[in-house]
Amino acid sequence: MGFTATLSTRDETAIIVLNGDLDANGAPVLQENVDRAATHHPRRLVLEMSKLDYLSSAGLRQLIYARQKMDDDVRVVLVGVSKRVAQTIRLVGFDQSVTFSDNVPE
Amino acid sequence: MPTLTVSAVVESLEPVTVLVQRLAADAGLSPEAAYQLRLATEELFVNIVRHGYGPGRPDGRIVVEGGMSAERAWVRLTDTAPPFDPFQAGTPTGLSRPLRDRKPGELGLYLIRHAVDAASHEYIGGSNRTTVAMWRARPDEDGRIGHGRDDTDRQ
Repeated sequence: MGFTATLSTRDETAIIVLNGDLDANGAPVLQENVDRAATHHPRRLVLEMSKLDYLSSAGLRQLIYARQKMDDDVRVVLVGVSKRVAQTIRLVGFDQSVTFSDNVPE
Repeated sequence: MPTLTVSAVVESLEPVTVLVQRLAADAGLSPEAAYQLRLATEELFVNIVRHGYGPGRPDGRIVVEGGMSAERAWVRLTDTAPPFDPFQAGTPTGLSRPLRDRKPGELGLYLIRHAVDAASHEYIGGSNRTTVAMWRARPDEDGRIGHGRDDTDRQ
């Protein structure tokens, strides 16, 4: 249990590494990182999820928040999403608005 | 049978999750079933905190019980907020809309209905009693038996 997020920026890409269980208690942690990422005005927001073990609707709301916080032309890329987490994202149709990827794009 | 009484605040989710994980282990639920039971419990719990009691009721309490029979493991949440049946909530609209047009409402309740094998709600003596259950053993991976009342809208 527990959730941490780490933000780094590289060129025009902001990368947030998500680690642990993204439940209602973890959601504000991610939101704070999305807010900080937005101040860099990236062209691409990468959410690295290979160490994300759990995602509830509180986490889904953060995906909505991230998408709406970024400019329209910013691509949101989810990297290394586990099967269960991907299932939840697809169930609510978010897979149309984000890109799934196996690796952090170059 | 583990029972926990907690304040109706989001921070109480942690001990509730511990209870659910312990129950899932004791009942020998598969990792998938354990995950789904945890998800359903969180969504119900947070819904009671935010919409059942709401911010004006910091004194609210939620009783969380776990139990099992030969066939299933279950979690029951009891609260004294106004009557609300989470399984009567509508399907969120706009599931096919792009993320930038989404409103975040009702996603949690939608997830519960796809997570659990059985669910029930009753309002008795001034209390909501909401129960979600997972089968301990399934006939086969695809045989989701007794999924409850949402079979009609499964995709």
